Amino acid sequence: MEFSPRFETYVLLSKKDKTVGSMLGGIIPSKESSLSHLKHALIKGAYLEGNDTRAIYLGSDLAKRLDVDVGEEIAMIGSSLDYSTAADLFTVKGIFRTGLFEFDSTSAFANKAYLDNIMMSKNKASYFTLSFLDNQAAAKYVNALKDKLPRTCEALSWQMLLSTLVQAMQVDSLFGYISISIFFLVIFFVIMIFSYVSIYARTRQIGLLRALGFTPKDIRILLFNEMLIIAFFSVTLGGIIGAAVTYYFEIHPLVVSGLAETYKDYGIISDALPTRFDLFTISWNALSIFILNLTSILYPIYKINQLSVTEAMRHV
Amino acid sequence: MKYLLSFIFITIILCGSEADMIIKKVEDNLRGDFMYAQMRMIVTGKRGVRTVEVESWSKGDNKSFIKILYPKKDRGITFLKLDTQMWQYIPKIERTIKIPPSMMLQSWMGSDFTNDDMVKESSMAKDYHANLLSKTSSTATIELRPKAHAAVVWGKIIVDIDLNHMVPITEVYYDDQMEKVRIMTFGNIQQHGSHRLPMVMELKPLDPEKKSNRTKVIFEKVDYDNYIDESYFSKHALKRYSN
Amino acid sequence: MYKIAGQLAWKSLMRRKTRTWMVITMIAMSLSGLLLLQGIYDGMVSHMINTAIRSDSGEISLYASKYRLEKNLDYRIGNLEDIKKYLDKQNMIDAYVIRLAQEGLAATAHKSLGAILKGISLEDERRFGNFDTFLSQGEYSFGDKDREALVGFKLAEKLKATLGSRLIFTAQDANGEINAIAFRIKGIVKTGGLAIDEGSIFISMEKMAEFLSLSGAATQIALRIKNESKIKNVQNALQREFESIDVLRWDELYPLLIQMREMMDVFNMVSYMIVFTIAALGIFGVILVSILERVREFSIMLAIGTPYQNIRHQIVTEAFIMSLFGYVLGAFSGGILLLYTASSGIDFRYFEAGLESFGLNAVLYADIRGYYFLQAFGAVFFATLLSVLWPLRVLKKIKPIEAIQGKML
Repeated sequence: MEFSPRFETYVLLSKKDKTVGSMLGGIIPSKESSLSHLKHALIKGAYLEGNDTRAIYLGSDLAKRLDVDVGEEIAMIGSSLDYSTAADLFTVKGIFRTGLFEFDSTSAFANKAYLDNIMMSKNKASYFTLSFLDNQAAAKYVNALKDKLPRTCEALSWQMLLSTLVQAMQVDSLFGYISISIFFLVIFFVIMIFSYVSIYARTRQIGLLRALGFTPKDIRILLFNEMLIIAFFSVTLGGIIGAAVTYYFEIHPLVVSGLAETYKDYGIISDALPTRFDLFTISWNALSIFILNLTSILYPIYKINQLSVTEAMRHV
Repeated sequence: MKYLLSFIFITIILCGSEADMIIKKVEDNLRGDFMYAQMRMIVTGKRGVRTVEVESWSKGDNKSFIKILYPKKDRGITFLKLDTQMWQYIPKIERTIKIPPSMMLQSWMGSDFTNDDMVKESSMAKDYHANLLSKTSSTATIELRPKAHAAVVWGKIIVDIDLNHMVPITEVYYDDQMEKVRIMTFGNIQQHGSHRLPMVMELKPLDPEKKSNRTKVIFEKVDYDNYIDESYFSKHALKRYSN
Repeated sequence: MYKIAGQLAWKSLMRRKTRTWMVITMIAMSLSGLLLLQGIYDGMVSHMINTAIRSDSGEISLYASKYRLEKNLDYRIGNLEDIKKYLDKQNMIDAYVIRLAQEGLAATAHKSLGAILKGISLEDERRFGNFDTFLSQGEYSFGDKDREALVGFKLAEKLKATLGSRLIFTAQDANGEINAIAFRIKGIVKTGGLAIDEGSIFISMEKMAEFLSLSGAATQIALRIKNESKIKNVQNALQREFESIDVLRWDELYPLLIQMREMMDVFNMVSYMIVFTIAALGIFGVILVSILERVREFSIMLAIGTPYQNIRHQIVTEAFIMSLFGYVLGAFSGGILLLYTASSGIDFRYFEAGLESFGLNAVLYADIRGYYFLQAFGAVFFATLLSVLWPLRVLKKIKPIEAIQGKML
């Protein structure tokens, strides 16, 4: 489920008499580097690596506030998950700059594997990038998370981030629905056009059938059944292909670099566009298309049944 | 930890009325120029029970030094507060960190004491009007109402006082709408040198979502009568007294 | 010759009216939907930008250098009088406000939370960005003797405070002393901006100066410059005049909003591409069938010596007549929809409760820009072009003799 968990916690970073509150993120460097442009935001020193221990990756403005440079040592104090004080010394390994002031002046990252030891946060992640498409799951998750967070976080931007996450998802889904309804509208028309055209190509044949004693109702049933068969096959095929594609993208998510950092304040916390392989969504979409298919031939059938037998027979 | 204590020291400067007199006596009883204490704080929250044990030295209202004894992991962490500045020493990394002022206003070790309790201690004195509600031979009930523009969050505080020992028994805190917000109870009154004070106090919030929370403070040692060396109130103390 | 091709195209379209109308309706409906979507998206972003400018940054904001980093009163704008004198002389600047802010702790009997206390002038803020329109409850006033405050709605909610509740704010003053101040809530503001809604309390500038023991100082001066093209000039001039001060434009302060706008543009492009690729499929079907139906007809034309170009021309004209009708109809209905949503807005309250707190009003107003229609035209044009390519290839492969003999059908 998680393809890049992050553990984030509010800590104090300090050098000499300068102490600054900051968000320290525990990341898996290799995974993160393929997903986000955190690595590319590097301006000095080096990016984190999987076997790093006391290495910290600092935002440029945060480094400025602490008055530290690459290679220098800073102290970190935070609260671990059992409420005890977590403290350690870190060496600045690299400095990054995303251009987003709020982010650059408050964020720091360390290797999750190491940070987990200090914070006792092993197997805990502050968020999973995937839960984000599923409103309900995320809301539940957010609530669960609230309980798990150290109390010291309470007054801080954490909650702000989390509540925004939920809201962002709601807005996102609203506009998603609007877009999808436009897509469906076009698809509906295209199917209707095609079925109309293909039914009309058979006008003569239908006229013949009518002459042989078929009622308009029989014609309707005939065409509807044909559509049913076509729709069934196309939806099944489309469903399988769609599911395969979705499944592929769930494992290899699409990445728009920089998205996470850019939209952090708006609650979008990964730059991978998470694609979720969810049978429910897939079947729901397939069913909609199926119904769309069937409704789209109603008008063509009506039109063809309007024609009299002779008209149909003479049709060119 | 002085702030924690002085929180119950309802200092009333205005004398005159009987209520003011009683409050003043209670406050004098609890207050000292120097104070050494060893205490245990038991915090019960949603995530279970947690115990913190600390030793504290304080002088007046502005200087205090605290050392954590328990939990073991945190043993030796020391805090120094001088007026508005605060430092923390962590033996594990042998570093002293200056706590930024904004942090000093944050919550206190996950307890139900609001940050307010820690910061506002000295302003209580001038912020309330005392009003005697009832009195028997051994107890008195006093209502404290904030003065017009006093910067206090409470709508009022009702204090029951043990007149024999001049110590509080319970304090009930009300919000703006005069709804009860939390109750503080005191127990195990003991004489320590020139002072008599409750050795146990328990804070119980009444907000529905915090209903199961408790914070209990138990004094294990208290000493008002010995001079505390000035060396405790310097930055060197942080490391020096850490062990 | 072209005239004949055109006439033929028109006639053949009229012969298959239903089909033609289906294509036209498809284009028109998807086009108006897309136009509306684009307008709403843009309207949403413009609204957010507008809110940020009106409630906070103005077009330009001045901060003492390092203030934004340290958020500390040590880094404040001190030479306020000089700056004011300068600003008053500039006719490019429509309005400006002076704010004095300090971070601290807001508390009620129930809860305490980190917040920012801002000293402002209500009258100036009204002139600056109609700040009074953000008021959602209570009065736009600091009460008698400035003892009351305006509070962000989310903050009030979290503190369990309502109108008339007492709030205590604790913070360091200019001398480093920790002080507390009490006030009652006179009004609740809802801007849609998180910083204000979740964390800001406004009191009068005078009260703030008294609380912080600091007069004649500011942490932020925000300017309104209505003439968009002059923003950069004003910024440069100010920076030259006051070297020790950070002069920042709103887009430098809110890079997210700019990126959001870019993101929306990409989203719109993608929507257009998807929709019109599907639509092209529809047009393609109709054109292809109409060619196949008329293979004999075309073959005869070719056999009697009509140049292939003429036939091609006829087909292309057919396609474009349909598309053009679709476009005109779609642009027209889309335009009307946009005009309507731009003036009356769409009420999204029924759809999503979260929208409001996301930084948007429940009622969204669309933007209308000329280029929407140009872009739409481009999309329709390319879709049509795309859809005739394959049918034309089919047409070219026709062998007139065989077709006339009926072998191809």
